Formats: sequence, C-alpha cells, structure tokens
Amino acid sequence: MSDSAFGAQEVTMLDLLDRVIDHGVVLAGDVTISVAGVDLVYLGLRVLLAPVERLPELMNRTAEEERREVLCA
Amino acid sequence: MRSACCVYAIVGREASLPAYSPPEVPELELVAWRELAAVTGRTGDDGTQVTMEAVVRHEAIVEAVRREGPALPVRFGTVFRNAESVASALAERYEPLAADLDRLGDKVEMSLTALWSTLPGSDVPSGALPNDTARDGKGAGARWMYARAARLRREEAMKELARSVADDLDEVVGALALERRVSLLPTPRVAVRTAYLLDRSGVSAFRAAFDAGRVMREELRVMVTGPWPPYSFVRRPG
Repeated sequence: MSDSAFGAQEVTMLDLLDRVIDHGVVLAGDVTISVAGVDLVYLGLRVLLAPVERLPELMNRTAEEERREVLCA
Repeated sequence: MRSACCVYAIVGREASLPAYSPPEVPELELVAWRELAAVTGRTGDDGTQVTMEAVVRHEAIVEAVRREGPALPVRFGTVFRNAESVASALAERYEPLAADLDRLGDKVEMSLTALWSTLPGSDVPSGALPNDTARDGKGAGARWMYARAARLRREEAMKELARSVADDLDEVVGALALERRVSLLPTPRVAVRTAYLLDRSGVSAFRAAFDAGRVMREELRVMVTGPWPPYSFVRRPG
C-alpha cells in the first residue's frame, strides 16, 4: 500500500491503536499483563510503524515470536 | 486456565455498569477504593493477548462504560492477579485519578492527523544539501559528514514544517478546545498528530470548523477522527 492510499479507515484504526495501547490511565501494581514480557508500548510503536496491510498479521503474532524478533534485532 | 482481573475504566464508586452482554465480553464488576472504582472483567490468558479483536473489545467496553457516566479510559493490557491488587493500585494513584476523573470524566478528544502525501525524504527541502562544488574532491569522511549534515538539515526542515502545520491546525480549531496535545513526526508517515480535548457538546462545532477551515497543503493530507475517550489527557505516573 502506498502512502497516498492511506485512507480514513486506516487512520482511524491507527488512532485507535495509538490511544488504546499507548495512552490512557496507567495503573502500576503487581501487573501480570503482558505478552510474555514484551513491553506493550514498544509493541504499539512497532505496530504503528508497520504497513497497515500487515497490522492483522502483526497483531496476531504470538508473544514468543515477538520476543524472538526483539532479541534478534 | 488461570483467571485474572482486566481493568477497563476508572469511575466513581456509585457508577452504574453498562448492560453489556455479547458473549465474548466478560461480565463487568466494580472494584472500589474510597470514592473511586475500577471497572474490571475476569479474563483468562487469552484476554491479555494483543490482537485486533482484543483492542477493539477494550475500546467498546470503555465507550459503553462512558455512556453510563463519567469515566477515565484505562490503557489496554492492564491486568491484575485479583481484585485486591486492583484496589491497591487504585489506592496508590488515588489523588491524581480522582482529579483526572473530575477534570476529564465527561470530556472527549478529537484527533487531527496530518499525513505526508509522499514518503518524506523523497524531495529534500531547498538548501538542505551542500552544492556539488562543495562535495567534489572530498574524501569518504567528508562525504559522510556532508551526508549527515544534510540529513540533520532535512529532519530539522521537516520538523519546522510539521510545527507550522500544527500551528495552522490550531488556528482553525484551537479556540474550540480546552486543551491540546501535539506530537510532531510521530512516525515516518505522519507529520503531526494532535489531540484536542472538548466538551461532548463541542464535537459538532469542532467538525464544522475543521471542514470550513481545512488546512490545505500540497504535501499533506489532514484527517479527523473521534470523538474518543480522553486517552491522551490523563496524567501519567511520575
């Protein structure tokens, strides 16, 4: 997908991801979240930098795959 | 499967929960601490996976809660072992959360995103590169320095352009907003992303002002989304 094809729907989706993953109330405690230790903010940035057509693929990757890629980068 | 407590929103302790019953949405419960409560749902390991469905479900729950009354949106993926842990987390940030709920609970945000029409860097701003005479006859080190200097000048020029776009947007809609957050060059494709905090009643006027005064630049497209819960305006810890 070229940038000129970047449409309203994609921008809405990216706005949604940016907000829900990288903003909002942060509660710190014994939070157990996460995707096998991968920082969600970092993961969010990776998603935002990715081509839109790869979003579903990236969002469905397993935590272990993400972790391996981070370690190998 | 081990069960955990997923947090979606912060509300007043007397708040009503939405009657919300699609099968994939967990039953919601309030976990209270003093005058605040967290809207939580039981989740298994799958509930903490980052999938598009999980992100959309989170947003749907936040919006359903906000239809019932004032609420702060909680970041996706906030999961605790049990209700006691949630209450401890509320206690730890009680004052800023209470203040934010009072300030933002019934507000919304609108987003303006300015996208580069073409990939940035394909045309270098005038004066960003040294002339050929200056480059000719230099060694590899000098060429590297020239290239680096050119890149820095290009980045600075892009940032300056993004800043001027943000100012133009502000001129069009800024007077309608209570607060704003600006992010310059947040990704290679995006020149500016701006969030404007509004009263709910101000959304129509915001859209009308944007449509009437739409910022037109050859190199950019500006798009509006929202209204969103005020994710961008809650205070971060520390």
